[in-house]
Amino acid sequence: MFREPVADLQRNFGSMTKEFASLDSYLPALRFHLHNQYHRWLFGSSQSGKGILRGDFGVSYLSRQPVGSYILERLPWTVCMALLSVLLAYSVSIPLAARMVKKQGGALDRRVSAFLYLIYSLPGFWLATLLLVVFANPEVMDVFPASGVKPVTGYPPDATFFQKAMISLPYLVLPTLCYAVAFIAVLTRLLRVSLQHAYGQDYIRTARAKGLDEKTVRLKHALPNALLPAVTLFAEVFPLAIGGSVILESIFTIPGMGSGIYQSIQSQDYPVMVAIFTLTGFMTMLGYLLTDIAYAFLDPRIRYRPMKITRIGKSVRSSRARWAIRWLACCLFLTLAASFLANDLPLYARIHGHSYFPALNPFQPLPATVDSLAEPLLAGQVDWKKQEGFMIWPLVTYNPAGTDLQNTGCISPAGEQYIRKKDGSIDRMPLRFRHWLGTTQTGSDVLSGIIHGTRISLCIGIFSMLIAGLIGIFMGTVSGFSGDTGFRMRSGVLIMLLLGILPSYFYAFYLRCEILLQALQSSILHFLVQLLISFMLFFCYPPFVLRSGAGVE
Amino acid sequence: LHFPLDLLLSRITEVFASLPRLVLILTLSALARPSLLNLILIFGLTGWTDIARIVRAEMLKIRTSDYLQVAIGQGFPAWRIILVHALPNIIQPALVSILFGVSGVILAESALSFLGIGVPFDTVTWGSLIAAGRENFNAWWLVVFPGLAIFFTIWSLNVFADEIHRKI
Repeated sequence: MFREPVADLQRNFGSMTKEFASLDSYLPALRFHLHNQYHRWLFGSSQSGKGILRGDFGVSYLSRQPVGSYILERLPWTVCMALLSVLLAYSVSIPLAARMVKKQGGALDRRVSAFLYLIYSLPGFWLATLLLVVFANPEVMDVFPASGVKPVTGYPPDATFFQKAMISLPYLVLPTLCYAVAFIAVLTRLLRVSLQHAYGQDYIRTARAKGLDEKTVRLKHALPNALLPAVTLFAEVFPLAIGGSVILESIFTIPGMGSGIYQSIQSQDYPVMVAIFTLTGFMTMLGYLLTDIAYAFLDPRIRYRPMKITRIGKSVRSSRARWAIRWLACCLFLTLAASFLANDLPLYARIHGHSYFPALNPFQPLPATVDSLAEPLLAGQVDWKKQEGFMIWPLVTYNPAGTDLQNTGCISPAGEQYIRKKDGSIDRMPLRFRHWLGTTQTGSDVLSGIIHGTRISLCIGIFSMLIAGLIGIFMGTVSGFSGDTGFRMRSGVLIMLLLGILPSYFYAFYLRCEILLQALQSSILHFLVQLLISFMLFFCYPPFVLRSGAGVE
Repeated sequence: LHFPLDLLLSRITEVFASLPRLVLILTLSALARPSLLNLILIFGLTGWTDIARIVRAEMLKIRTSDYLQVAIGQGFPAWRIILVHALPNIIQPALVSILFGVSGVILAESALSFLGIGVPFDTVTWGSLIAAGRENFNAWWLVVFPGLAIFFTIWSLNVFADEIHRKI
């Protein structure tokens, strides 16, 4: 049992192992105790530093470095990237949207709209990978370095700030582009809709009727009013500037906040996690606050705005929608029929006069005569490609997770593929069993992976959104029905504090779940006591959680 | 006594909305055992805020409408007014944001499996195929085809949602 959980953690974090402690060993730690007090975390004490309110986030378990300096080291890169990309996005989107609206429904408008849709649907990490494949690949175009933010050897010792910036610039081009692309799509669509709206207003007609030239009308009257919704986007940019993009930063190996979060989570470095969460939460609230103030400042009419205008366009033509619905139907079909479209078991097989349905029923027992093995097998365990007889195969004759030993090492779709026959000889791949879209490093079939991936992605998407929809509709209707629109003040400080602690709460709940389950099995009284403790936990704080959670003896 | 239900629920929604979702998922999936059900629950339990906000705004809008005022005036209980009178008029805007949500979740899921977290290790998904392509830059088919699949799905969902929104 430890007396000083936090100090203990800091001393020997590397040598600890994770295991569940018995009930007795952690129960005493859950009392209110002098050593664990929330105010110490906030305001600091002689033992635990200066407290987060004075900027002391403690010491990282892993690197033994103060978390504050760890964050300061990483912050400049993330902020620099975010600002660069936002600048790029705004300077592209505003003129673009203005151009599009200048001639509504014209060729430019339609083409750019369609193009923006394409950009909007591009997954950021995919774009990042493609950019790396093309521009950082010695075999295609070796224009930009693939990773990092500065040369491996570091900057020259007496470089000025400007020289350092020039050295780092090529490293930042690809990541900044990736960041910016998503912004550009959202921002331009937003601006286009609001500009369109602005052009329909009376004051524009008045301005034209006054005889102002079109340029003045556009720049002085329409644009400032249309920029209003773009201000909303700032609320989203703000936390991003601090939190960084986990995915892009880990693709480009930028030592920013995003990869910092990723690393700290991977190594369960709680002080760093709590610090970054608190900061991001604070920035979110600050962003919202600034947006609200900016709104009231820019447009005196606006008192209250329940939702942001996002992604709402009116330029969808019906043929596009038809194709979309076709593709969705196709995805749905793939989801339902994935096992019958891509499977390494045949749909139907006829061997020695007996019929088998391996894909439908992999647990069908086979007589020993098949595969000439001594013991009878189940249908799912036989390598049917080596059997002789009449078989109906699915379209793709591979399992997504299966490995084809003859075709490992990324065989391209057009490349030579081989198959091992029943007598052990290796032959050219017959058309029937070809890997149509090539294989991965381990010899798994790509097309089969895509087909089964559809099932996973759609299932997660649809089922999770069903849950979310039920909760959302319930919360929304109840709150809207009993709602009064007048009161709209964000209790920012409270939310911010909650945010800093929430991750630890989730961890606590995760632990409590296991304990509650165990308690339920022993006795009902035990369970009730545990439930009470769980509710108490809700009003407690991270050191508590750490003490009960670490399970160190 | 007037219980400030709206205030309470809106604050709860805001707290959930200001959670950094992806990071939360990273944390949870580092702690919980990776499984499809866990992932569905995580996405479902964090992704409802947008829907709630839109439904709330719609509800506020139609609360002043005549037919709802009549229903309230007739003294129907609140659940009946919400379920029978209000919900059919709210369900379409909610559907739009649910569809956008589905595309967001698919994107997030493939990003997660690109990083190798979330789904179980041996499950092949679009994201994990692209991740395999990162190890070998010359294997373009590992990046292009799954990427196209993601792209078309997201695009279709967005276009479809947009179409519904336009019809409303």
